Amino acid sequence: MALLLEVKDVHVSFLADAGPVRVLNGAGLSLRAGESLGVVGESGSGKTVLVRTILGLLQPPWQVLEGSVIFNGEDLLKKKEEELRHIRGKEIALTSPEPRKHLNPLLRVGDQIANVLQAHRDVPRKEATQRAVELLKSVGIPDPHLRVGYYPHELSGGMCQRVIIAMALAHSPKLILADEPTAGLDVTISRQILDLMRDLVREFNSSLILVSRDLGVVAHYCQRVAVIYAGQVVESADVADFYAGAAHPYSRHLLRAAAASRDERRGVATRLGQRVVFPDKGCAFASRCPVALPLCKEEAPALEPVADDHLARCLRRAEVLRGETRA
Amino acid sequence: MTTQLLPDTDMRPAWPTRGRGEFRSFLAFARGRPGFLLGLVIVAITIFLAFFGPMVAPYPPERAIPGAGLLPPSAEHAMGTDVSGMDVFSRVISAPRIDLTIALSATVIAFVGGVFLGVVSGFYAGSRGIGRVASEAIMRGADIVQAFPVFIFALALVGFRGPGTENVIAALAFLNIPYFLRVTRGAVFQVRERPFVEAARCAGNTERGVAFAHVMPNALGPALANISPGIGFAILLSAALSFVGAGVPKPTPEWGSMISIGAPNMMTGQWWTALFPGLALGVTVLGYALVGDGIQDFMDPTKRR
Repeated sequence: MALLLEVKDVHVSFLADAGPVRVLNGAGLSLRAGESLGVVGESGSGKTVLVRTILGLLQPPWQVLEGSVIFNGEDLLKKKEEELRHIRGKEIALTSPEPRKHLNPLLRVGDQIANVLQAHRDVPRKEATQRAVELLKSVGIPDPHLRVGYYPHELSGGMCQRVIIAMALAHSPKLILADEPTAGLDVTISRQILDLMRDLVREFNSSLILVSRDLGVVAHYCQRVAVIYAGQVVESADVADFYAGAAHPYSRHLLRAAAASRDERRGVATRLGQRVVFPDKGCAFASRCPVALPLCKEEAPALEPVADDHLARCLRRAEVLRGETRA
Repeated sequence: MTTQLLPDTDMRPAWPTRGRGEFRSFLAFARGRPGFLLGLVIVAITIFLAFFGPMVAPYPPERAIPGAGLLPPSAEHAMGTDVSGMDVFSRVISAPRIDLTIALSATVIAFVGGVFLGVVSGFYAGSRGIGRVASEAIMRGADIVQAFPVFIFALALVGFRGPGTENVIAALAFLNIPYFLRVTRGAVFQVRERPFVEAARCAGNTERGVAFAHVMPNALGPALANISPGIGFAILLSAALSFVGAGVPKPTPEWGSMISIGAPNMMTGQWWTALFPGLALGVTVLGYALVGDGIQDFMDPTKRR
């Protein structure tokens, strides 16, 4: 199947007062049409920045240094603001980890959905509101004809997330970027929201990039997974292959941490509060890696195949995959 | 699993999202807010007087009664008479016509202009290209206007264009713009960082649409709160202009000029000539302040209950 999205070698810096901080260091991923990709990684690894780069939403002090984002055969990073405007919300939609903050507090939710519709199409106001009711219904909000008149503060967090999803679906986009859609929701609601997203993505024939910190969620809802560390994708594989055997020590770390929290056993000690600084040379994970070789501090590995459709950024990927190391 | 199935409901929006629904919630909002209601009453009275004041006045407000100068309040003259023998009560209730015309129009013009310029300068500050140039130009313009002493500047403006109500309004509006501009710009700086602004951009809105449909309504609060002091400021400044002869011509009933004419009489014990127009001015400003506060709360749906 054709590639819908290909992010290649994206470098992004944040210009802080003390000097630029390298946030994305050659991140790349690809997505086929109709596929769901899970992007996982720890806080600060660059997941959200990556998603925002795709939509061209980064503004100073953020700086995109190089790379390309090929969507439907066109490089989004080379497009002008006005051209991007016609893609945002129409071809690519974004949902947010803080749904309530992403709704305008002064507008009734019906008006906000209508606003999204009218941004790309000449729809009379009445028709747009009618369509908003239908959209609210399709995201499972009861009494949608009443709820269009509600303000965001009158809705619960889960309801707000449904409204955000309704807005994302307004133009049946080809690609939905879901940035931690279940942050701040309890497990029952999380499950409902994720089920809903999966069903709607299928129904609308969209593709999905699901940013998450929950490996379980990714395993359940995605076909492929990309692990991101220090602004680089360190492993990318089919979900089944990944959970059967990860080829990067960091991925193994993550998997074991997830298992440990489930079994209520202490897993590998993670060094909290430590900022991941991207090194000038060598592998970014070398300083934390249990199986690092002296060579790892010298030579930066590339993202290379380790098995069929399975890429990893590690010199010892083959050994790790076979389970010959203690990683 | 397919999409969650819901019982078929009436799909017509039951809540009009514009128009009548807003009016209904405004009535519900006003009920249960005594301060706001008091403000509405005061505003209603001043507006009534602006139209009908001279007609309901017991004496012609601009005609002196011979030999009746500086009479104390009595049954005949409820607020006494001033130094030239004009009935103070008649003048006090006739004054809103000119005072409100000047203060309201000057403040509304300043509000609209200041908010517009504030949104432009705040929203495009730090951007690239023409927006940044416009933003900087607006701020430097405001600096220049505010660098002059207000009264001298007003005097110069009126002197340049000649006295007359429209010119007083123009001068006051012009002088008030920077205040609305600055508070709005500050609010825009905060609002434009909020996530829903990025969400609006994400939905494919134009920059102009984001600025005026999403950022501006959320940044109106400080400017709205500035309206009532703005009205007070405008009335006082127009009084000062009349005092030096650059404002409204003398016999016209106007609170500010009545106060300035009556001030010397207060020293000699005839307190009524300046006190009553002063009270009227104070109550009017209070009324507009209360309404301003109420409207500010109404603009924020989370505070409506």
